[in-house]
Amino acid sequence: MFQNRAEALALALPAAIFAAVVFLLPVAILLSEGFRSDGAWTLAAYTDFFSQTLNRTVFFRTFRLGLEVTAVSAVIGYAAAFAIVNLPPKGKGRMIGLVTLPLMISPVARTYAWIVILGRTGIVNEAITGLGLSAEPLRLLFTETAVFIGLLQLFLPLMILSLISALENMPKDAIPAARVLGANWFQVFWKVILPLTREGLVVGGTLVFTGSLTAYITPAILGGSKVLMLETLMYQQVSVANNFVSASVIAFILIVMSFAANILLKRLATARNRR
Amino acid sequence: MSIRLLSPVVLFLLLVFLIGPFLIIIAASLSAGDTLAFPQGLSLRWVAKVFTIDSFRDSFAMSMFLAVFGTLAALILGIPAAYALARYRLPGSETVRTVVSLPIIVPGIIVGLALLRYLVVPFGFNITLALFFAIPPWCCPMPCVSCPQASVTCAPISRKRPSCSVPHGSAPSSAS
Repeated sequence: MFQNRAEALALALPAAIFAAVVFLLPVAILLSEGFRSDGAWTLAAYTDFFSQTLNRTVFFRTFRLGLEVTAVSAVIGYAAAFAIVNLPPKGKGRMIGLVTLPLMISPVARTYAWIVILGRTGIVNEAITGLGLSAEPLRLLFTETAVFIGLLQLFLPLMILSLISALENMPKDAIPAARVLGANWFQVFWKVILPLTREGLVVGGTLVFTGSLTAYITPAILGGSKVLMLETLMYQQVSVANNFVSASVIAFILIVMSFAANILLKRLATARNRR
Repeated sequence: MSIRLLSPVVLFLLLVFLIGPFLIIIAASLSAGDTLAFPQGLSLRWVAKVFTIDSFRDSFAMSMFLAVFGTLAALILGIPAAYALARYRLPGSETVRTVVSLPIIVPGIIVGLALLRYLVVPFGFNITLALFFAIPPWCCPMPCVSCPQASVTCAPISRKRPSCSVPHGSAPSSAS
């Protein structure tokens, strides 16, 4: 038994040491930098960070966009997952494949497509000026809406896939039973589908929310410096201002937020199992 | 009844939203026009042109190198670790699992920044090497997280099912 343990340790250690040295240590040092000033531990960097209006705006914008993307993807996700689950098997497989397809493609390519659509000479603006709705092309890129659309397209598949597996695990008779007993579709959704698929909604929601909080490429391309999010602000602090303390503060906020979302997910999932 | 009519509409709009942009960007890459806009005529001129640019060729080679050897390195490190975590109950196996899965939760840009600041700048580390180093910790969790479950279903041996500490599928989100 001991020999096995020694063997197992020898197998697991290289990966653990590698992850610790090349990942954990640098990140830990980076995070600690935000709490230190002149060799002492302090929260000064955090009070400084939140005392600036721009930083507060960016913080709340990131948080709000994350919530908006999550909420909208849940609404679309339910409609889409419900439609997909009710397809015949062959069509269902194809649709799931098509929904998964975007996840295989680099976020850069996915986001870039929106420039072709929303840019000054993009499809939407060509249509608007062509129809005479506006003489000047509208500024659609570098707006919060553009970032919202980009993030939604990026993360919607995760929500749909979570909800599909939740809906598939639901007892098949639950909806017809509720209908027979006189529930309208709103009641069916609220009292039957939602409670039975809550776990899938929580998993999908966590993935979409943390994804939206931590995505860098989409806000960078579609928001630019006009619509800063925490990640793009962080990059700007490092590349333009060379301010690593402020970057460390943002890094800490981002990591805390994604950890909190992950813990909440576990909590919600186990709370349901216990009942 | 209304739901049956509604589904095709929902699915159509969904595909337009999810897949449409790709079709458009593929069409735009084949455009004969001068700006990034909706195609004005078809041509391969931009596709041919991009391969004449040195920096494109260099980055293309770099991407390929990192993809192939980063994956190999991740597998070499990840498979033994996943095997060990699945087969033996180690004293610190939960800790090892957490350490190895952390890179999925931590945004890529933070990892990149940390490596830049503490490996590349102070030690004069080669950037290619740093990029190469950045990939395995990020990919390691994949074999580590998914293998234990595969081995549980294939060869149920007497031990508790390993708890998966990372939500499946969160990886694409933090790519940067």
